Amino acid sequence: MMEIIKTENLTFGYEDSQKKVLEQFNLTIEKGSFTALLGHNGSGKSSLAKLFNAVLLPTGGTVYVSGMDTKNEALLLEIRKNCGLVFQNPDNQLVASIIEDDVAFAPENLGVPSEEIRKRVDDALKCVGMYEYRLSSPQHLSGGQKQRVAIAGIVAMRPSVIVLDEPTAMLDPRGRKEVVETILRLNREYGITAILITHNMEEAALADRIVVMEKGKILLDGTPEEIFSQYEILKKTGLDVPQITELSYQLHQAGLNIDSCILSVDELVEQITKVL
Amino acid sequence: MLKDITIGQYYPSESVVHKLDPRLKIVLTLVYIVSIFLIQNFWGFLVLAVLTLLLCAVSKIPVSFLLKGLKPLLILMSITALLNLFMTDGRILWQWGILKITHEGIIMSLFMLFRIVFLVMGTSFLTYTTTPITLTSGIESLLKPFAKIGVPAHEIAMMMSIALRFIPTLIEETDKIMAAQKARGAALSEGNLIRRAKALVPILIPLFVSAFRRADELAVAMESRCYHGGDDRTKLKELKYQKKDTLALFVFILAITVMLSCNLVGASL
Amino acid sequence: MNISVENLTYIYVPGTPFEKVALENINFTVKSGEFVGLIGHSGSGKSTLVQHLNGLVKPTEGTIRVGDRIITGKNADTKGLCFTVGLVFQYPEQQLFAETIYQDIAFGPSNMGLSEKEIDLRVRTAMELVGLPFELAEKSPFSVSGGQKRRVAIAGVLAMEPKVLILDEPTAGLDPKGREEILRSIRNIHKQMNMSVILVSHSMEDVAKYCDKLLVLNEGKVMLSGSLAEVFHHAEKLHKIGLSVPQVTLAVHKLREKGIAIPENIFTVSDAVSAIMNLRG
Repeated sequence: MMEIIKTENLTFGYEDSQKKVLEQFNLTIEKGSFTALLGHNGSGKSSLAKLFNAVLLPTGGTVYVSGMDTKNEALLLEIRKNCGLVFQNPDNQLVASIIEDDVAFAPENLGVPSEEIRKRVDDALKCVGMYEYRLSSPQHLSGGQKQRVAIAGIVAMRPSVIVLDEPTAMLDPRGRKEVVETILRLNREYGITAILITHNMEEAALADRIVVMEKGKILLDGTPEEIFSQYEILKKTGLDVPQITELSYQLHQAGLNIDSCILSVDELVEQITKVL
Repeated sequence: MLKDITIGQYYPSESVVHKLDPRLKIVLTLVYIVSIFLIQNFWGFLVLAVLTLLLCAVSKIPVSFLLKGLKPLLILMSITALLNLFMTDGRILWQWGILKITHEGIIMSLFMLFRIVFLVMGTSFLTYTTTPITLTSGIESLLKPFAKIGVPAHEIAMMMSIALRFIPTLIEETDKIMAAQKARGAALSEGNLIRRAKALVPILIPLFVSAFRRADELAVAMESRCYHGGDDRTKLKELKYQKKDTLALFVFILAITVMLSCNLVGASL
Repeated sequence: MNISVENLTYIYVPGTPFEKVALENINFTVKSGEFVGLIGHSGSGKSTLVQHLNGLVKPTEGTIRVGDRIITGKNADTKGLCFTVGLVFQYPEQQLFAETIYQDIAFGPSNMGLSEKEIDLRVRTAMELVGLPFELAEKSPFSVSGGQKRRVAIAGVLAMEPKVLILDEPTAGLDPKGREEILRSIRNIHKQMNMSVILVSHSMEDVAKYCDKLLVLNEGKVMLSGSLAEVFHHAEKLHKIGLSVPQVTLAVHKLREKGIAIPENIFTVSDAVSAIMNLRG
C-alpha cells in the first residue's frame, strides 16, 4: 500500500496560546483508504484537517501530502488541489449563488481551461447526484444537498484525498444518509482517499479504520471492531459506541455467550438466536 | 417582509435577453438611465411603456413580477410625488394655507413618478435577466482596462458576488435572531426612538458576530479551494460577444431614437 | 400546564407565488408535566409548529390553548405568553449578545419587569440548573466553550421560569459527552421544576431514553403520535420517510420475527439486556 498523507512528529499550537493542540503526532494514511477520525471537541481534529492542506502550517515536525512537504510554498496550490477540505457548515463554504458556478470555483482558481471546467463541473455534480440542480441557488436546497454541492466543489479539483470535518453535524437523518452515501461512493467507486471527522459512531463504523484522538495525541487506532471493543476507554474519553455495540457489550458482560463488539443489528440478532 | 423584495433578484428563463453579453447589458442600462432624464413629454413615456411591455414579452418576465419590484419603493415614490406636487411654483389651481397645487406641480410630480417607475423597471431587467455571477464577471471585464491605474477589478467583482450570495442567508439569520429575542420578551417595536434603538442591540450584536464567523469560515474554505486572487484565473463561462449582441445593440439604438424623437413631436404639438 | 392544538393549519405567505402549506390540520395535546419528543426532518414543519406555541407565529386556521388561555383567533390572549412557554431555538448560542453571561441570562427576566433582587435569584437558579458555576457570571458569553455557550443560552430561557419548556434540537453540533450532559440537565430540570417539556430531536435513541410521548411530523402533517410503544410499533412507516426506530428496538423486532418470545416494547439498552437475559431464564 502507498501512503498518501504522513505526519512526522507534527506539533501545532496557536500563536496566542501556550497549549499545544497537537504534540509529536505521527499518522500515516494509506492511499484509497477510508479513515474516521474521532475525538471530543477540542481534541485537535479540526486543526489536523487544516494542517493536511496547508491552511495551517506545523509549528514543529512535518506534514507530507502525496510526498509534498506542506511547508513548501511553491507547492501550495498543488497540495491543496491534492487534498480537498469539506467543512461543517455547508452555507459558509459555498461561494457562488448558482450551484454550477460554485462547483467551478476551484478549477477556475487553478486556471483550468473553460471547456475542461465544464466537463469537470458536470462530472462532479453527477458524481454527488446533484446534476439536476446545477442552475439552482444554495438557498433553495436542503442541508444535505448543499453539503453534497460542497463535496462536488472539491471533487471538481480531482483530488486524491478528501477530508471532511464533521460534514453531517448540522444535518437531519436524511441529509446525513445522503452525505455518508456520497462519501462511500467517492471512496469505493472513484478511489478517492477519505478522512471523515465525526461525532456519529454509526458513521464511523462504516470506515475501514478509526483513529481516536485525545488532547492532541492518538489514543486508539484500529478497525471499527477493534476500536468499539474498547468500550471502557471510549466512554471514559467522553465518546460513545453505536447503540447496537453497547447492547452486545452489555449482554456479553452479563454472561451471554456472544461477541462483545458487534457492529450491525443483523449480526447481533443472528448471534443471539444461536445462543438462546 | 424582507423576503418579498424582488429588486435585484434573478428571474430564471431561457430568453434571448438572458443570453446577451452582460457587458452589453450593463452599458445599455447606463445609457438607458441617462436617456430617461432626457424625456421631456408624456409621449416619450408612452413609447417607453410600450417598449417595456415588449421587453417583458421578449425576456419572458411577467409584468406582475416587474410591478412587484416597485412595491418597496411606494413610500419613496409617494414622498417624491407629494413634494413636487406641493412645492412647485406656477399657475395655482388650489390653495389652503401654505399648501398649494399648481398646474406645473401636477406635471412635475407625474414626471418624477414616471421617471422613478421606469428607472426601477428598466434597470431591474438587468438583474432579472442576468445571473449575479454573469453580472459580476461583466463588471470585472468592463473594469479590467482600469486595472492598470489601480482599480481592483477582480476584487470588486469577487466582493459583489459574495455579497449577493450571502444576502439571502443573512436575511434569514436576521429573521431567526429577531424571533429568538422576541421569545425572551424583547419588545422590538415599542416605546420612543431611543428605546427602539436600544432594543436593536440584542439583534445587531449576534448578527455581527455571526457575519464575522461566516466571513472567517468562508475565507478558509476559499483558501482551501485554491483561491489566490485574480491572477491566472479562468472562467467556466467566458464572456463572448456574439452576433445577437450586435443585433440587440441596434434594436436598442432604434428604440432610444424613437423615444427621444418624441421630444420633437411634443415640441411641435 | 396543558397545551392543546386543534386543527392547526399554517400557510406561508398566502396569495404569493411562494405560498406553501407549512402545517396542515395538526391536532395534539401536551399534558402538564409531560416530556414529549417532536420528530421530523428539516422542513417537516417542526420549527414552525413550536413557534406557534409561544405566539411568535399566528396560525392561518385552528385553535391553540395554553392552560386556560386561548392564544389564537381574534381575541387572542398572547400577552407575556413567551414567559409562560419558553422556547430555546436551534443553536441558541448564536443569539447571545450581552457583555457578561449574567446580563445575558438576565435579559428575559428584566423584560418581564422583575425586581433586581428577583432577577438575581433567577439568574443564579438558572445557572445552577444548567450546571454553570456562578464564577462564570461576570465573564463574556463569547469567551467560554461551545458547550458552555449553549448552556448560557438555555439558562436565559429558564430564568423566565416558564411552565412549558420547548427545546429545538438542543444537542445539535455537540460531541457525545456534550449531548449527554445537556440531555441529563434537561431531564433534571423537567423533574425539579415540574415543567412540561417538548424536545425537538432527530435522534430516536435520545427521545427513546427521555420522552414519554412522541409526535412525528412529516411534510407538515402529523404522521404518528402517541406513547413510545405506539410510535415505534410502526418501524416500517418511519423507515419509509427516512427515520428509524432505535437500534435496540430494531434488534428486538427482528428477534420477534425469528420467533423469539421477547416483549415488543423495548427502547433502551438496559431494558433490552434484562429482557434478553430473562429469556435464558
